Amino acid sequence: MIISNWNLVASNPKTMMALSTVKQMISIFLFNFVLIYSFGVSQTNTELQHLKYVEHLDQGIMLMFQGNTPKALDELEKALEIESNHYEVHHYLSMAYEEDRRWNSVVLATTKSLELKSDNIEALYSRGKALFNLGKWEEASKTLKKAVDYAPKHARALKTLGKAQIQRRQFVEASSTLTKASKLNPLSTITWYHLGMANLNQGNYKEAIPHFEKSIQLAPTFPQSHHGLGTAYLRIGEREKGQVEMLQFQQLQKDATEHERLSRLTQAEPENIEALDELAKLSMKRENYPLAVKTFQRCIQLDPRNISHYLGLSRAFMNLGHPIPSRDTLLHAIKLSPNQSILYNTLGSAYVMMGDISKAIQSFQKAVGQAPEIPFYHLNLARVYEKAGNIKRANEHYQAYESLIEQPPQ
Amino acid sequence: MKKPIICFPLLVSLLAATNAFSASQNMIRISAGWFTMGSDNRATDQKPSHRVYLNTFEIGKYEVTNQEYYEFWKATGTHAPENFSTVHGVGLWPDRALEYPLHPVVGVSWYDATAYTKWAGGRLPTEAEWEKAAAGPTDRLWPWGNALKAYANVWNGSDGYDDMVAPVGHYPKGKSYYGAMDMAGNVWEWTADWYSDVYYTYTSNKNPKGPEIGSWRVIRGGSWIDNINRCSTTFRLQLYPISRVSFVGFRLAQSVDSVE
Repeated sequence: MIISNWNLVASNPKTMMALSTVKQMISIFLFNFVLIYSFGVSQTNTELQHLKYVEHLDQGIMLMFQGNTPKALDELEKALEIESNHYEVHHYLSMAYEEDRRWNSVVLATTKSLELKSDNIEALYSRGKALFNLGKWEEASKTLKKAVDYAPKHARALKTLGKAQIQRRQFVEASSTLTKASKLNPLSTITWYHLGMANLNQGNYKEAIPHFEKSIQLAPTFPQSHHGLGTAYLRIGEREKGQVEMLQFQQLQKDATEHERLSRLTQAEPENIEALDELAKLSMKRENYPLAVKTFQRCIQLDPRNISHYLGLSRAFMNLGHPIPSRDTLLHAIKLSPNQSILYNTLGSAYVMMGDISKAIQSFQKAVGQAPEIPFYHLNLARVYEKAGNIKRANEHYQAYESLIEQPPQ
Repeated sequence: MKKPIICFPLLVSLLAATNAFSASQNMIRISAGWFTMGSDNRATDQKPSHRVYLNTFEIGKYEVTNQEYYEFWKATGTHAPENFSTVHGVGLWPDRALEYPLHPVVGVSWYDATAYTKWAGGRLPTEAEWEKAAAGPTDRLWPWGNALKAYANVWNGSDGYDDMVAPVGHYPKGKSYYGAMDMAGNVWEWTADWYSDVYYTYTSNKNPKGPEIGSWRVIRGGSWIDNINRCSTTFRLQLYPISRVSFVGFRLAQSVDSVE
């Protein structure tokens, strides 16, 4: 039936023409449909891919902000697998690598970032710092000079450039660079130390002294500054002062060596509680508070009923300017051992740091109530009463403090 | 630019019905004067604390909301915020403008934020203006004072918005001395300034405008992803200005013309 109808149609030229036009129209329609559909699909795929990229990047930055570098790295790498043409992502990734001191990876990531945006000051700085840490002084200098050309007030770039110039024995240039860095950031121990070294290497011993002194003032436990100062004194003939500094250097170096030994020991024996405890205490002495926090936390994991670990952890937090975790640590310790006056006294200090004077008063009162014979509890309480404007109570506790320190020890 | 996929008239009428947070009605005037910027006890880039004089200025009482930003996006057809399909309380644009009209707009770059402020007749606050509006004349550690209280949408805040952004003005007890809301937590806020970690050592003490050059812009205030320490009035952070992330928004500022 169909065949016979077709024969009928095929025999009529007008019908054939019309059919041909319809066929053409169908073809065009089908072609366009396929084209539009496939374009639509590819557009949707592109959008979906971009959405995935955005979300990995968002998570990566979020995790970096929260200090979770390993997970941040994972997210940023996933983002880059999807879209690799964004300069900022390469640099965020390099910042995460830097946290792990993966300097070669930092160089690679910043090189890519700079290919996409050559005047990216922070990527130039990161690259220069990584090259410096890889011992590539000349290449580091070139990169850091570029950063400083773009941003002459970039103190970190100036500091690292100065250090690279010292390594290249360009002491005059280093002095000039580090002087600029020290003016921009007078609180950088390392800048003052290297400025001292630049002067020392030029034979400017007297000029080197105030720089080393400034470095020591900012970080008294940094051994190299004492060595530099001692050397400068000895060179100008101030033998006694030089020897004092050298002794100080030796003691600090000894601590550093002990620190190194304990670090290795605790790595080899991660459950050696005695070594961990010593390492935590030594870290406090050397003002390495981040390590002290980490180590005290490990001690608490292994020995959760030892109050001294909590006390150490809370003090380390406070030295880092974090009174809130310090308070939380102490509150936990107080639950475990409610009759330790020192815990209340330290808690009072945490509240002072948080600006919560009424709670500070309560805590110091508790410390005084538990151990009224300890003079400095009264002193702390007097100070917070004074701060709260209660002069009468402040005077009472100042008097208690004075009378206790006048008493001969029992 | 992604085309709007929801019904405009419906959205517009719904948004118009919730105009309680319109920018023009909610600018706070902060009189000219001195305040202390930075802190000597906290992170290095906040040092040294120093006295700064600012002319009179106005600042948004609230972070710019999805609803407000939607009006801008509709009017200009540009600067669409980024989409975050998996971030709770954010979602896709412009649908989220309907779903969360009073949430702060996020996923906007510094350039998007600047374009919005120009369109709205203002500008982004400088870092100094932001800090004065947050810390007030008595150097508050947090906008509400120095006591540690959960008056902000922060990480682990146990406030009903533990893992998501909250509507603006949801924490009235957390308002600053001048009455600005959410200056701690909820979302980080773009400021006008370039970031430099040592800027406070060479800054001008009168109407400082930040370094002349940089790669990063300063963001302030912390957000729902941060612990409360990072939401203090002096805490500084930096981000590439092209970054569009789910926890950074902004608020409006305006100069006030007067002889001072």
